[in-house]
Amino acid sequence: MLFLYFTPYFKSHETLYEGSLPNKDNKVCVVSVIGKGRHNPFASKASVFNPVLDKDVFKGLLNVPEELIQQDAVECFYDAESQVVYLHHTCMYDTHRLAVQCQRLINQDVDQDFFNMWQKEEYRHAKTLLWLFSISHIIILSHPGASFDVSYVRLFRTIDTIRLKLLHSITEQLHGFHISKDWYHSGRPCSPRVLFMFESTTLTKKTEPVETGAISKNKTATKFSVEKKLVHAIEDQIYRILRKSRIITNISNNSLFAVPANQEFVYIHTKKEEISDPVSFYLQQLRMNNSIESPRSRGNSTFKEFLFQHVELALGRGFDDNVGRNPVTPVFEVPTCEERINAKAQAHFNTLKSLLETDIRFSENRCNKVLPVAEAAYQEGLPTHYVTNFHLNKLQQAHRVFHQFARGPATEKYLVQLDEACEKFWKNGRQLCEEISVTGNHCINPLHRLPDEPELDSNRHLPVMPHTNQLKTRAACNCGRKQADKDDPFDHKAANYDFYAGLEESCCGKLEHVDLPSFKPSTAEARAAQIKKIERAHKNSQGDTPTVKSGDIVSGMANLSLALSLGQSGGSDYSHHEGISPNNFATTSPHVETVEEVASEDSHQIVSTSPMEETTEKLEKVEEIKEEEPDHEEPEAEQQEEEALESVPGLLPKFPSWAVCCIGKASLYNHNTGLDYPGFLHGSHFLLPWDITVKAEKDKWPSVGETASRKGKQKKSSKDTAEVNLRIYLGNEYECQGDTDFSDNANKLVNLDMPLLCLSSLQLKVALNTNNPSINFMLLLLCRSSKGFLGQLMRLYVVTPEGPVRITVNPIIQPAPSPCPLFNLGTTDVVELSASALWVIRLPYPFITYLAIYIHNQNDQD
Amino acid sequence: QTLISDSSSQSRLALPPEMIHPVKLVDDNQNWIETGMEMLVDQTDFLVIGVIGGQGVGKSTILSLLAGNSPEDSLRSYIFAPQNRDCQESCVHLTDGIDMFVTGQRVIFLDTQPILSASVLEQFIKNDKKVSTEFTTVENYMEIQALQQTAFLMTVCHIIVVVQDWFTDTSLLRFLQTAEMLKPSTPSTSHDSSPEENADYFPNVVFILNKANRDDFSIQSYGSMQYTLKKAFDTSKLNILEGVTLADGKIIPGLNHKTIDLDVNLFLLPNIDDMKTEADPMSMLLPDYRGYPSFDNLINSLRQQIYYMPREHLTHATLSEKNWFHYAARTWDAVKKSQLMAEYNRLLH
Repeated sequence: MLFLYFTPYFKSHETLYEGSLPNKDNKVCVVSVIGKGRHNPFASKASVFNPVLDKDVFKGLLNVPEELIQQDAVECFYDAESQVVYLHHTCMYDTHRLAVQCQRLINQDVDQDFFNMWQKEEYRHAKTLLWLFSISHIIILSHPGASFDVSYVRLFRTIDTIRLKLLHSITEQLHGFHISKDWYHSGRPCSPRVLFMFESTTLTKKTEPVETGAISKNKTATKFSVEKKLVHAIEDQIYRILRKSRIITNISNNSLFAVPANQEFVYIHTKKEEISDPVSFYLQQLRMNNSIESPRSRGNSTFKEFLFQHVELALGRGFDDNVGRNPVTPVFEVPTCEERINAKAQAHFNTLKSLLETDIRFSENRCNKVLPVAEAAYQEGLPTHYVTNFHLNKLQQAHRVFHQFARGPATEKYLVQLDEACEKFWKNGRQLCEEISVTGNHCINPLHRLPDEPELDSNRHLPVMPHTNQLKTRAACNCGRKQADKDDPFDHKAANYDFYAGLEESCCGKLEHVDLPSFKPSTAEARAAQIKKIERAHKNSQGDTPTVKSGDIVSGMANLSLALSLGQSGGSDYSHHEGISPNNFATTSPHVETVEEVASEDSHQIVSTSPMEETTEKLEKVEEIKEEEPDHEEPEAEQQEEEALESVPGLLPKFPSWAVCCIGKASLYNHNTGLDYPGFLHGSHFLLPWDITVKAEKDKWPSVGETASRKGKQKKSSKDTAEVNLRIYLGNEYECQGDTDFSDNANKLVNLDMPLLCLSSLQLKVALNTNNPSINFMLLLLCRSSKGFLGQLMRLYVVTPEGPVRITVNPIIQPAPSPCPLFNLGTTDVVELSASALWVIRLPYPFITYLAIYIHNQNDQD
Repeated sequence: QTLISDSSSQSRLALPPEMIHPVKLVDDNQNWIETGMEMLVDQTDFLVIGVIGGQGVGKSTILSLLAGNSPEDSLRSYIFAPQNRDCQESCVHLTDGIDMFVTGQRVIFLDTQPILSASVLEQFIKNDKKVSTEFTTVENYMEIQALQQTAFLMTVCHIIVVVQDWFTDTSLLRFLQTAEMLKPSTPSTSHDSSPEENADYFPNVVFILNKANRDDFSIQSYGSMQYTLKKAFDTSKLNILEGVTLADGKIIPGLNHKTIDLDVNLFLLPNIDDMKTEADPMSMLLPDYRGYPSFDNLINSLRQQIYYMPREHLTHATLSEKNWFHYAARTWDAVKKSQLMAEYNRLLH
């Protein structure tokens, strides 16, 4: 007796057989068990043979090692006594095997989907069945259910098709074995008989007697007839179905298998004879009053009777399952052991695979059909060039179309193809340059290489051109006298240096400039260390806290000290007001005190700082003036910043972003005519006169001359004699940065009338609050359009008086609410302006640090 | 009473008609029957439960029990007639087409003819002329018909109960996914609504293992069944994880969320007859050891869990019962004429 466990296609088992089988000349009958198995760890579908063999041969998979469970396998048992070889095919259709596999896949998180697994399994299963059909005499198709499983109909037909196709190669394989001619030619010992076995029945128990012992003969007869009736009904059903699908024919040799015409070929297990549940078994034993007695004795097994009538026939005269008027002598051979072992067909099965894969073929067809539709959806209405976001949106649209029509397991695979195709389409000359200008506008060129960019493999094919978006704004030169179109800058050198440097030649080049610190390389090859690419500061939410805590500023400063020392700058995406206190008699400031000592004069410090109200709503109301004053915490903060600024050691910028130049003599400014530069709004080209009385008491603040009403409020405090009255003119110019939509309105340079009021009001506060006011950094300008535009503070004008004073400036700009850093000229000391001259300080636009760009975006105001 | 009969002209306040027997929704020739409309009213709070399963697994019985029958009821009083002796003895199916029954709680039950059934196939063979020429074989015809029926249920039901009498026929699991693949898309409300709004509808699916035996109720077996179903449906969009479970900690000691870490909709019912035979008191000295709760307890728990399941909208617009009927009729028409089905059929050999 022999019990083998093997997998037909992966292991050679020839030697095992030869050594183990006792008599090579014995005839054997091969009985195979195929079919599906219910979920039961204790028994398999072949366990029904145990009572027949009177031995626990076929067990459940409980103790089978896991690696064997993963493959389908054929259990083999040779019963020498009755000369029967039992082959039990187990595969994923045996649910316990499937369950173990699923559990393993989930627990190990193996990324193999069920569909793939099943596809391979079905293919293996069909191959194994084909093999079993080629070597078996009797095949038992086991059903866990109670009715014929119609899914076998197609499988049988598929296997039959393949069997006929493979016949030739099987014959070749059989060449050289000692087998009969008939076997050789048909590729199998006989047309096997298939018996159908059902493990359960639809018959409800009510129809059956409860205790076998208590039944009368009458009842037995009834039971017998009921079961028989069911068996015959099922036999008829199966026969009809198989005949209809031409799986069985009149001539058994031409068919995959046959069913006996005059014998029963259906068996229903109404009562379990094998042990399939140990608990039930022991309970049953207990119930039998401890008289342990084998419940299965060979003689009582009706299943054995059923089976052995076929086996005996097979070992005897063979099957004759031909039907019809012209019977053909059936091919029937009983093989000797040696022959049957080697009679194994090895061939390739491509057609088989495709016949089994209806679902995947359907899905593939479907997806193949839909793919071009989805691609067309992507390509529909595309501009010539476009950016990543646009690409992704279109791709999503294509996905939607694809999902609408695509079906089945191949969807994922084709979705990847769709992505690839669309991306290829886009990358094939349809990419738009994604560079964004410092003002936040896209470059409109196709993907390109910059003239100074090194040529690499990745960009060799690209056209060489600079970034452009054809947006132009009107801007004035350093001194404010000459206007020109300014290209939308893509780097901050272009924004804050190149443009102005270009205008120097034709305008302000000859003027006296204050030399602002910048890095001047000693050799031409000097290169700056690579700094991180500038990233755009994201727009803050409107709900940002308007109050600036001094602590925040200081810490912000600490982080950004490098940027500050670079003297670079930025503006936030939104409107900021900024206060300027052009004149701050910083008597309380230690810094100014030293100046005073030196000069023994009054000194002026122009400090521009940023406060406070950020919300656009407020801003739009600011047509007239902000009466608001800097937050009371502000002054203190700024003091600290100033100090922080001075103490920062840092790198020099490669170029100055600011410009300080002297336009000429103070007499150039006539307060009657104002600044006669182009572009000012009507009536807004006057500087603010500011009278200073020198020799005032130290703690007294000089007051600013202003409108009559304001003057009235002002307390004339200084009545001391030896006073010198000096008049300084101050002005801050707001430049409106172009808006593409309103380009004709956008180029206005606007100035002054509002700052005048602003200054005066702030001045009041200064008087009340000791010091440090600030002015608005952004201001709503009423241009020709009713909407108005925001102007950014661009220039500060100072007309210095002739007299015993030193005028120094040290503008500090915070273009956005904290934690936006503060920006200054980058000088280590305040800048002194020469006396009796018209000075102008040009501010950067936009303010850029190596971390972020601070810029105000016009469109956000809408 | 006269008032009620008068209002058969369908005033909105009319009481819905009380049903005693199911009505046919789809007849044995797969034609839509309009009479079911009379059983429905214009209100939107309703639940549709359909059933899928092989021949003789107990679809009608379980549906009847869910619809309100008690296991003690005589078989004759079941809402959906269970198999009688004749059917059992000749191994044929009983339900043809689709039957509909509406309970007073406004739950619409759809009982269906068995899928992948030998008996249905045999019936087709006997009436050969019914098979249209577009089908190469009669079993292809049967398969397409079963797919149509299942795809229909997947479109119009909130919950689909899949009944098996053994665990588990992989062919059935695959069949469900094929039907899911071929199911018609949910009609979109408008062209420019967002893709999320236009997402296809997928029903809840509850697996029921009928006629389960003692071992099936063990932690190991139940857990392993859960894993199997989870893996088998890992790429499917059917909602099988809504937690209709034995492992809620109350039904069977030891089966709870700690021991069972998945929540696949899987419920086991023992053989209903086991309970009935027990009623015979003198047959045994000792009561038999069952190893699982009584059928009564289990069916009650199942009914409760199914009724409590979340109900998703079948379409993007809210449907009333009557709208649902029209929608179902349209869907039935759509699956019968479906291009997808035709395409799939051409691949069958």
